[in-house]
Amino acid sequence: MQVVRVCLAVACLLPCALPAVAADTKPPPGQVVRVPPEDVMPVLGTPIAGPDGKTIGRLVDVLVNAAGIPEAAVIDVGGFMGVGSRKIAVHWGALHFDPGDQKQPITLALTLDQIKAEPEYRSPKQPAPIVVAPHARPTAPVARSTGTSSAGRGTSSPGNGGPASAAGTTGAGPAATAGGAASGHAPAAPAEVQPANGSGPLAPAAPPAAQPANGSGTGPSTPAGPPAARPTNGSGASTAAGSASPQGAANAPGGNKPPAASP
Amino acid sequence: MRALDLLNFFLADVQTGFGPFIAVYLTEHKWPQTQIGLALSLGTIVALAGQVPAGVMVDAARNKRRVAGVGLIGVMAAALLLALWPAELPVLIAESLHALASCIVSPAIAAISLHLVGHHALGERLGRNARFGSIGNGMAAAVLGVGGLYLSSRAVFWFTAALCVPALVALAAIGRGSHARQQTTSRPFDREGLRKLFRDRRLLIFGVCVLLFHLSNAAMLPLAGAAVTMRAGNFANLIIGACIVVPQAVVALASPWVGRSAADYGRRPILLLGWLALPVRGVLLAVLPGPYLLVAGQAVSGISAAVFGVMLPLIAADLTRGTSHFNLCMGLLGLAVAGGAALSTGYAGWVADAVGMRAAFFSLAFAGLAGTVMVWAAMPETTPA
Repeated sequence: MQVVRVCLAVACLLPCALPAVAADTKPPPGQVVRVPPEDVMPVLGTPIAGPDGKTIGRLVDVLVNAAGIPEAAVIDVGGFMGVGSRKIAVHWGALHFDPGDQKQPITLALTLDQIKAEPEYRSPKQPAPIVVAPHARPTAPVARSTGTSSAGRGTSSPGNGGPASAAGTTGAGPAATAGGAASGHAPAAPAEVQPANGSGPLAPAAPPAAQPANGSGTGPSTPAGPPAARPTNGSGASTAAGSASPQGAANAPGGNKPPAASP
Repeated sequence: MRALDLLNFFLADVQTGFGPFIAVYLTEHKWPQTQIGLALSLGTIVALAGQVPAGVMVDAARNKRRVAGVGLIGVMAAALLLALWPAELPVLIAESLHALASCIVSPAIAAISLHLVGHHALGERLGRNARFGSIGNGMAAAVLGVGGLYLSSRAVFWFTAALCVPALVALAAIGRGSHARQQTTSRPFDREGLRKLFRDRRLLIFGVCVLLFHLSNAAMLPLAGAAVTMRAGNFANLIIGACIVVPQAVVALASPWVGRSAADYGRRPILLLGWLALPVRGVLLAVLPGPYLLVAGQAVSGISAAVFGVMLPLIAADLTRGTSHFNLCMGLLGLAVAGGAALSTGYAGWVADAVGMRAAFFSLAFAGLAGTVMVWAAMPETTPA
C-alpha cells in the first residue's frame, strides 16, 4: 500500500516537474527550407533506366560511407513477380539524376548486360561488391583534385571521397575510380567489381592514387578538371586524399547547392 | 464436385499474389530492404507456428466449410489491407493474417474433399484438386505478371481480394459430404487417438521425407530465376515467368494420373517417382546451359509438385484412419513443409555465396536425393488393406 502511495505521489509530481525541465533546455525549433522538386528527389523504390532508356530495375538501397556520402546504389535487377531478381550494387558515380524528369529520373551509365551477372549484394556485414562503370577505371595517373570531380552534380553525387576515407574506413574503391574520372576512355572495358573495403584486392592501388591526391591537398587551386566534367563519370574523389569534404563539393562551381546551404 | 474444382482454382489464384511478389510491391512503396525482410520472415514464422494449432482447430470444428470460409475471408482481408494501406503495421498484420488463414484453409479443403468422396476415391479427388489448383496458379501468374508490367502492383492485390469472392461462392455451393466424418472431427481430450497418432512411426518418417523434399524444392525456383537473370538479358522476366507457368501445366496434366496411380499401384512407387524428380531437376538446372533450357529443367519440377500435392493429403488420410485427427496430421506435415522451405533458401543462399550457383543446385539436388533414399529405405506402404 505504501509503495502504491509513493508511486502515486511521484506520478502526480512528474507532470509538474517535466515542463519546468523542458522549458529550460528546450532547443530552438528546426528551420524549414523549401526545396523545389526540380532540385531534389526521393530515390528509394525509384525505377532506374539503362543507357538505352529501358528500365533495368529499382533502386532499393543506398550505401554511404562514414561521411554520409553515397558510395553505391543497390539495384534490384530482373525477376518475375518477385522471383529471380538479383540485388546489384553499382557505383554512385555511374548514376545520373534528373529530378525534373518525371518518366526517367535516374539513369545508369551501365547496361543491363554489363551488370546482370555481377556478384550480388547481400549483407552489410560482408565486403560489398560494387560495379563501377568501365570508363571510370583508372587509365592514367591520378592527377586531379578530388573536390571538383563531382562538381557537376552537387546534389546527386557530391564526390565519393571525403573525410571518412582519410580515416581509412572506406577503401580503395573510389580511389581507383578517381583517375578514370579525369580521363574518360576505355569504354570497352567490362564493368569492374570492387569490394568496398580497405582490405580488398584493390588496396594496392591506393598508394599510387594517394600520392598525387595528397599533392592536391594543397587546396582547391589544383582542380584540373573543368566543371564541365560529365556527371555520369564525375565519380572520382580519392579516398586517400581526404580533401574532398561535402562542403568542398557544395562549393564547387556549377553544383546545385545542398539544401542545408541554401536557406 | 464442380464447386470444389472451382474453389481450388480460385484459391490458387488468390495465393499467387502473396509470396515473393510482396517484396516487389513494398519496394515500390519505398520500404527499406530490412523492413521487407522483417515482414516476410514474420509471415514465415506465423506460418510455422500456426500449422499445428490450426490443424487442431479444424479438427475441432464440426463444419469444415465454415472454417474454410473464415480462412478465405482472412486471406481476402489480408489482400485488402495490403492494397489499401501499405504501411508498417497493416502489412505486418496482413502477413500474419494471410499465414494463419493459409494454415487453416489447406487442411480444411483436404477434409472437405475427404467428406465428399471418402477414402476409396480420395486419390482421384486430390488429383483433381491439384489439377485445378495448378491451372489457377499458372493462369494467375501469367495474368498478374504480364498485367503487373502495365498496371500498378497494387492492382495485383485488388485482383487477389476480388478473386476471393468467387472462391467463397464456390465454397458455399459445396454440399455437405457424408464420408469419413469421424476421422476429421475430434472430440476434445481424445488422448487415445493422439497417442496413436504421435506413436505412429510412419508419420515421423514421412515428416522427415516431406522436410527433405522442401529443403530441396523451395529454393530451386528462386535460384533458377536468379540464374536466368544472370544469363538472359531483357527477356529474363519472360523466361522466369515460363519457369513458373510451365511446371504448373505439367502438374495440371499429371496430377489426375498421380491420383489414380496411387490408388492402383500403391503409394510407394508414386512417392519414389516424385521425390526422385527433385535430384534430377537439381542436376539438370546445374548443368543445362542457356536460359531457355532452364525452362525444360523446371518442367521436371511439375512431376514432383504433382506427386507432392496429391500424396501429402492422401498419406495424411491413410495415417489417420481410425483416429480423428486428420487435420492435426495435415498440420504436422505442414510444419515439415514450412520448416523445410524456410531452411531451404538460407541453405541454398549460403552455398551459392560460398561456392557458387552450380554448387547450390547440386546441394539442393543432394537434399532431394537424401529424401528419395529415405522414401525408398524407410517409408512403408500406407495403402489401407
